[in-house]
Amino acid sequence: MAFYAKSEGKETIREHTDRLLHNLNLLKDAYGHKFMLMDEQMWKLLEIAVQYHDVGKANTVFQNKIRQAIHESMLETDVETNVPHNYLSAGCIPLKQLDLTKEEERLLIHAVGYHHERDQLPEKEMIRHVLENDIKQQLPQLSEHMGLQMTEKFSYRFVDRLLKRYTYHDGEEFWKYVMIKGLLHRLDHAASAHMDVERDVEKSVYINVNEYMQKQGFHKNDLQQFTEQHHDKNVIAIAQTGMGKTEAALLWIREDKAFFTLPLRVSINAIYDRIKEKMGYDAVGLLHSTSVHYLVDKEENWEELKQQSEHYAKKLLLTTIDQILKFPFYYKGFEKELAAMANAKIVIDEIQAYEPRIAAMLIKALEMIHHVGGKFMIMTATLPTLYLEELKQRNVIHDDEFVTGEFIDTDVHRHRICLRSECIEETIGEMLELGETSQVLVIVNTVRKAMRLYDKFLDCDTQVPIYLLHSQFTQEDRQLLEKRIKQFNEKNERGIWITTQLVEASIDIDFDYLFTEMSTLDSLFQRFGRCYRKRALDHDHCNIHIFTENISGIPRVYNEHLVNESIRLLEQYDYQIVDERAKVEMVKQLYDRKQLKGTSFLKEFEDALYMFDNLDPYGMDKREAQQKLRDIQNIQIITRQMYDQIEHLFEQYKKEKEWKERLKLRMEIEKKTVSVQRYVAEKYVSERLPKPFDHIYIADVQYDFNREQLKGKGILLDKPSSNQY
Amino acid sequence: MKALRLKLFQETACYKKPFASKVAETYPLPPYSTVKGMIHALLDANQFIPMRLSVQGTYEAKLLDYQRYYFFKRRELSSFPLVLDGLARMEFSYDKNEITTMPMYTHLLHNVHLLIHVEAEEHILTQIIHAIEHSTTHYSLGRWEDLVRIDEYKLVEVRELEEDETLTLQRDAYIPRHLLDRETKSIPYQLNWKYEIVNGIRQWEKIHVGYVQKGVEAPEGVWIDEDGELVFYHL
Repeated sequence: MAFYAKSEGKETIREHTDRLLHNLNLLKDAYGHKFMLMDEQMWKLLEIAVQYHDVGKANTVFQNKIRQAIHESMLETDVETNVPHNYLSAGCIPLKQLDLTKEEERLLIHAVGYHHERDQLPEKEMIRHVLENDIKQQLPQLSEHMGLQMTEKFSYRFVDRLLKRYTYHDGEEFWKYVMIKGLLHRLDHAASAHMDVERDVEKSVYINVNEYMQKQGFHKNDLQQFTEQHHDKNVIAIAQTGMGKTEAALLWIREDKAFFTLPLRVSINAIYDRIKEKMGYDAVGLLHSTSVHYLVDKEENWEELKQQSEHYAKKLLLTTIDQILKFPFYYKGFEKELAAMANAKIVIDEIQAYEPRIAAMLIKALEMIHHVGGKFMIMTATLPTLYLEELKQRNVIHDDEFVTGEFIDTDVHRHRICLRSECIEETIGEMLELGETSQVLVIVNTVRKAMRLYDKFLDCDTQVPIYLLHSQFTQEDRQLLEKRIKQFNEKNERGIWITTQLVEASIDIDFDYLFTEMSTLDSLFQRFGRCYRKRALDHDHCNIHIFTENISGIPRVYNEHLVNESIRLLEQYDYQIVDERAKVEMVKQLYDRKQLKGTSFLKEFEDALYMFDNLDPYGMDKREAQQKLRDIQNIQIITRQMYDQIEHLFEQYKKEKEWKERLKLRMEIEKKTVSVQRYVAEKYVSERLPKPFDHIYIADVQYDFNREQLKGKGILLDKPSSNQY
Repeated sequence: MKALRLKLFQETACYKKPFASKVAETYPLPPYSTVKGMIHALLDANQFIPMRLSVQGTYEAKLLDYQRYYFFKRRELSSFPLVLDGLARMEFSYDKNEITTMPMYTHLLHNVHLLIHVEAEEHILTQIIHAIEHSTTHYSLGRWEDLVRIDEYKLVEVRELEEDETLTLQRDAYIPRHLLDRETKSIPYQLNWKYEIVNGIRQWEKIHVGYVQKGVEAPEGVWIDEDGELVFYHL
């Protein structure tokens, strides 16, 4: 008799298990030596876990569910209790015959028993009922079908053992558990998707990056030589933008499997293009919340790419931290992501861009990665001293397996600053004058301020082209604008762009003048990078004007204390050149623990670390953890008018059965949404869309954008849409 | 080995934890010292009699009672009746320097069923049975006012559980720590067993146990009696 595991393709339990075994061998051959915690005995345990993980599916209730789906006759049974198969599987393992230690038994029981994480806890009486009255009769056939020995006599101690879950208090055993369970997840998920758990194992990015650099005539600079040399160590590299950090990271990665994270999706997409197209390396994957949209536009085989990226099968994965590094939340199933780090290298670029809460999570994540044997590299323009100290204190960085280097080029002077104790709105005339002959970039701290400034410019009678770019356009309009600003910059057009910190890191532009509101130093220096990005300053005037009065976004966006300290530190450079050394030193001073005492910045950081150190494991699911990360950021809204226009798409979505079409419709809908900070949007939101679009809210406000001229203000939160009707 | 098995019932019980001085908290089952005390009282013993015990049981609910507690400020006191209710026309006042009172919440267990195994020399067990059959007073366990009904007393044969036998706990039980798996869910307690008096103060010998709830599989190395009841000797 056949025991089915999946209705799709009428796959039997044995067939499905064999797919896992295939993946197990693949993983072991490819990266076996990379796993610090996996010795022969551990591999053996993992194999046993694989063999038995789905045998519980033999229960008749489950078999009948599949039989119904594939139109086969139902099996007769008196047992109707529905017990998750993972619990039943754990009960079928012949522990007595396996000759394992108590600790090994526990690893096995927990890996198999929780290879699906359920809300429903194991209940002994229900499990007993199904095992005794159903599975027991099937055991001989099941044993024959699987080619495996099953337990001779059921013992229910495994249920007690399951109820006491592993926590970090279990010490070394906990990390072993993470490996067995996490790898079982990976093998199972890959097998279910009918794909290899690891791809392109032999494809080394090292070759491609070297060839690329040769072709371009680049010589490896100090930073790149340093990372290349220390490829077997954990690395912290402090280096300014434009020093070839991406290449440096790839040289460090060498022939290893790697995860490359950046804070902004746009920059990740850009690096994806660079690695894939310019360097010709195709073992690269892309994974972030909107990566599918990007892949669909670019790649023929996007489905395959999407799947391989989602299962971390790609040799090199470009991704955001919320995809792979949220395991410090210990959400149900966190073992998978953490175990995926064990044979890999992890690059965290631009760590200074994360807010303190998230930085705390990253530090905790690095500590955990260190425990399972992964290697990491932190790259940043400026590293808050605080973070470094914390890593040291947690013994994540030891002298012999860790190097740190500062790579600061002080030869080229690119920025002369001018601190102006006035409000940015008072200098519109000055900006317009410059705008006639050059490219002027204006950066303010909030969208609201950007819109107001834009209005003021429009009130002036001027021929100078004025553009506005901020985050509160619909996704598709924002894409248009981002394309336009790059084109404007490349073609050397004249005019003024009013923007927000949106352009700080994500958009590769090089303007002649920067007029900016004061922010914290790290953010401010990122802004500097958008002006005279690669050129040396060729005149004696100030190319950067910083406005310190009536600054918007305090304290919502920037911490007041930090901004004031930043102004104080900058004052000595008024009308002076600010070189890279000066920047690094100032940021060091700003984020010194002593300096930060009593600030909300330090408190947030420490509170978050405390939370991660004392969190109850398995308290939330993956989605909740993701939401916790994003919560602080944005929600998606759609204007009432837009909703009315595309209502048919929602109808279509409901009817559509084909998942590819559904995905397309979904993307079509998402494109029309605007991402707005939660606290800003809350007042204007009137209703929430039904599932599965319940992350989108309808707002009764107007939207202003002319797609031909690329002009307009975006979403107008203070103008209710009822005026239109 | 033979053991005396007692099935006991109490309508209310408070096995007060030592040092629970603001709220009279109760253990979920009587600690060994309390059971030992009851048996010694039955035997009218004036010195320690070696024995080992197994304590299991269930209760239906936990209640809160608000009661007046008397606190004694001195070791030596003139005698006075503890219970005043029902003493006709008896005027009683006490010296505020000697006694003080305070109302306190008392945790009470309700409808407690206990299963206790006592292993001791056979003549001791016979004496206990004799005392049960011929006692002239009521029995209590824990507080004096928490009466005990003895539903059954029986001499039973106890043997070790075979290695491949597994049995599920039918009652909550104290299981000594050395018998427990690290993985078995239990609430740890350090229970009093017996004491020596050092410098006028009782020095207790403590037993580390886990309070394990019914439904859990019995760990290896425990015992079972002839009627299939699990036994968890504390020594």
